[in-house]
Amino acid sequence: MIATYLDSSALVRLCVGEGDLSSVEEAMGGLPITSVLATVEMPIAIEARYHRGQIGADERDELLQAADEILTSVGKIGLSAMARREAVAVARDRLLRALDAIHVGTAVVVNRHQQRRGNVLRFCTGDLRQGEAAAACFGADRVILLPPL
Amino acid sequence: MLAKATLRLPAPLLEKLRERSRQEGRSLNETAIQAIERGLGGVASDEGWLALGSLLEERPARRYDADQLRRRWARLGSGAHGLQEDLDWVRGDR
Repeated sequence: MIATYLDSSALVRLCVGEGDLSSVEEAMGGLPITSVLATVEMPIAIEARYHRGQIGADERDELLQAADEILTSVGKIGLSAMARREAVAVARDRLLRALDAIHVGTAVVVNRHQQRRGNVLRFCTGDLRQGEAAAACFGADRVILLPPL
Repeated sequence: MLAKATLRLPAPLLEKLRERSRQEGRSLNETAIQAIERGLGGVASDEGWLALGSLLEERPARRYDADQLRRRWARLGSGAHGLQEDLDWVRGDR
């Protein structure tokens, strides 16, 4: 079974049902993985949308429930010292936001672990800069970059 | 999250575990976890999660339910779209 690391940018699209989600849904049917960081990023993004007045309380609750259902269907990788080190290493060669780097760094750790067992890891994101960083780490053929919305 | 425990196993069973561990190229610990999971009614797809070992802080508690999610999408208005922009803000983009 193919493991796919899903960045929060892919997961929030799934939360709302926005854009072409075929590759995200395919990944969700396999071995979907993300960082524990997504459990903080996704609800806070929803709360931000609510506080800006773009959604009401009912929609906020609906989105929070959707986020919870998605996150409880995904395996979550901890913020280990190894993942933190890899995040810093990933940002050495390119301009990358800290949270993007944590996701890529975490995927690097998972990928190494998978490779030792002869397994493959794919990386799925809706963020171009992060996708480029992931492609540099894993190869472009292993990165699913969701089309812009 | 992993918890530590000491188990006393019958010697032949331990030897079987060692043999399986050698055959599959996995650690004795991974092999034992897999065997216990199976014995307790785990399914084959659990193997992928088990292979991630201690990297995995939290295993999925449920399978992805696309139909349930689609019902939620139907209840959302257009204001919910563009959540990725909010994520960008969370990540520090202005």
